[in-house]
Amino acid sequence: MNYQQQFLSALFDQSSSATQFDQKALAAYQGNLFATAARALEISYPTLNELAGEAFIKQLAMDYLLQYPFQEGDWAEWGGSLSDFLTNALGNDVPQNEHIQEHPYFAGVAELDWCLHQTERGSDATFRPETFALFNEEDPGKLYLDIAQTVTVIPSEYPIVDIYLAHQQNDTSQHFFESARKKLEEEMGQTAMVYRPHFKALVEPIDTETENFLKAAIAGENIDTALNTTHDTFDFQAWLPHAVENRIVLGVNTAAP
Amino acid sequence: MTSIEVGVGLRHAHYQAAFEEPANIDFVEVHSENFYAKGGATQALLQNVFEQYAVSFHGTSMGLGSLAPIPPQATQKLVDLCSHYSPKFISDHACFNWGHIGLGPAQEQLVHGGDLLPIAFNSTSLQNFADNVEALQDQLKRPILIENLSAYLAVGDNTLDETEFLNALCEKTGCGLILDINNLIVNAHNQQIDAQPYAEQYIKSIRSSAVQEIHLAGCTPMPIGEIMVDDHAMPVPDAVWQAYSFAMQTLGSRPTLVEWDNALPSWQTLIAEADKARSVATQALATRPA
Repeated sequence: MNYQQQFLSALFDQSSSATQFDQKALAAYQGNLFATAARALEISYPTLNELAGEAFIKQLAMDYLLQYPFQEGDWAEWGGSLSDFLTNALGNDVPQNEHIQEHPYFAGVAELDWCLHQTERGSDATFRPETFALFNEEDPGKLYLDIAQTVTVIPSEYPIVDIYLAHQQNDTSQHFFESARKKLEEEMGQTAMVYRPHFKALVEPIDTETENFLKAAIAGENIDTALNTTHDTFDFQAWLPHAVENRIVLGVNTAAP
Repeated sequence: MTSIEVGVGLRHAHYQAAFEEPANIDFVEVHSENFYAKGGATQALLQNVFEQYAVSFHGTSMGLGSLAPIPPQATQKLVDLCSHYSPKFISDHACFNWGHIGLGPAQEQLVHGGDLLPIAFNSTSLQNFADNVEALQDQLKRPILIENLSAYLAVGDNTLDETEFLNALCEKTGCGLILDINNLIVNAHNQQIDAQPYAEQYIKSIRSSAVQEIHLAGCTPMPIGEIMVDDHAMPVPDAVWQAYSFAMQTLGSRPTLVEWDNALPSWQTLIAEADKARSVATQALATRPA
């Protein structure tokens, strides 16, 4: 090992004090590293941070960093597997995971947080309103919707949308807090749709019909085929204006994208 | 009268004020990594910043002193960012970040240390650093600046002085230097040596023509014997002002930037620090020997 590998190994080694490096100096570097990691998780996972608290996030950042070291060179890109890490911790019955086991929805909340974080960093979409004229020129059922790449569907067995909305700083947060609590008691989940009308990523709950239609459209099915995945309760005529206004649908094509 | 360019580090908490209260500054510096997103609000914001100010990109993650290969995707992000803008300076630090290590049961993997980690000053590390700088400059198609580091300990085999190392790096690669004066004061504290003689000797030893920018900052004071961390969380202290004045007299006018990254003050307070830098520099330059 060269001196840089020796130093990095010592930096990530929380257990041993047997090192050739000055302990105070090494501790300063370790303190910076773990504080930066915790800060990165606070930024990328704001809802989880609100839910779980500063002390939990600090410990989580340390545990996670030792298993999933920083490799991206950009802290905003580090932490993408935190949801899986939390899910695994659920099944790992050790005392330090007690807080996670008491809150089994942490992993779902983390998945939604990360999706929102990445969505806001994604490429800007190109809106093509002129293509909607194709609805008057072609058989609408044979057209393909151009769904924005920033649109993501996240099913969860927990009310992750209500939990997220309960932690936004606005007048409706209390309503969603009560709603989330009730759904948790009744073991009701939610499917989240994440989208980005402008710069801020938004989330809303969608029903199974919308989920099926959206998944089929994202997979590249034409409108008729996507509608065949739904039942009569899905109102495409009502859904489309909302989807266009919020840049969920960017345009239509005559061929699969 | 010799003119002086003065700027400030522009951080998230000051974005709004920087637009609403345009200040008497010549440039701002942003951290490159904060603008690596492919799209969204940060890109739109950066566009607006460039419309109002001259902007430098200052990196904290490239680790050009790394003996391990720097991942191409890390350099590509900076290259992509710079391809969209014309920054005043592009810079990073005289440090390493990357290395292959084994963690727990996992096989050896390339990790990033998440901090500005000290390098050894010897001929091997010099050649390695120069190779990395040249490769990046080739990609960027322009020279970069390298900043002297605040280090909390010495590592590896040192056979060169830090200034010898940096002077040789500039000669080999054509890169320039950022002289961070607070880093000199931090290093003197952590080495338990007198700060002013150390800083003045350093400034006299550094290759004057290579120094293209000066950084000023303040950090949380620590008692002798305790590690001083370069946290950029305080006003510029007297020791830094004194060494800055000496640098202006010795090197001549250089673009000067005030950095403040933690426990941020108001925008007005930060600008007042920049005003003070202008005042100190103007006084020092007026007494500079012809």
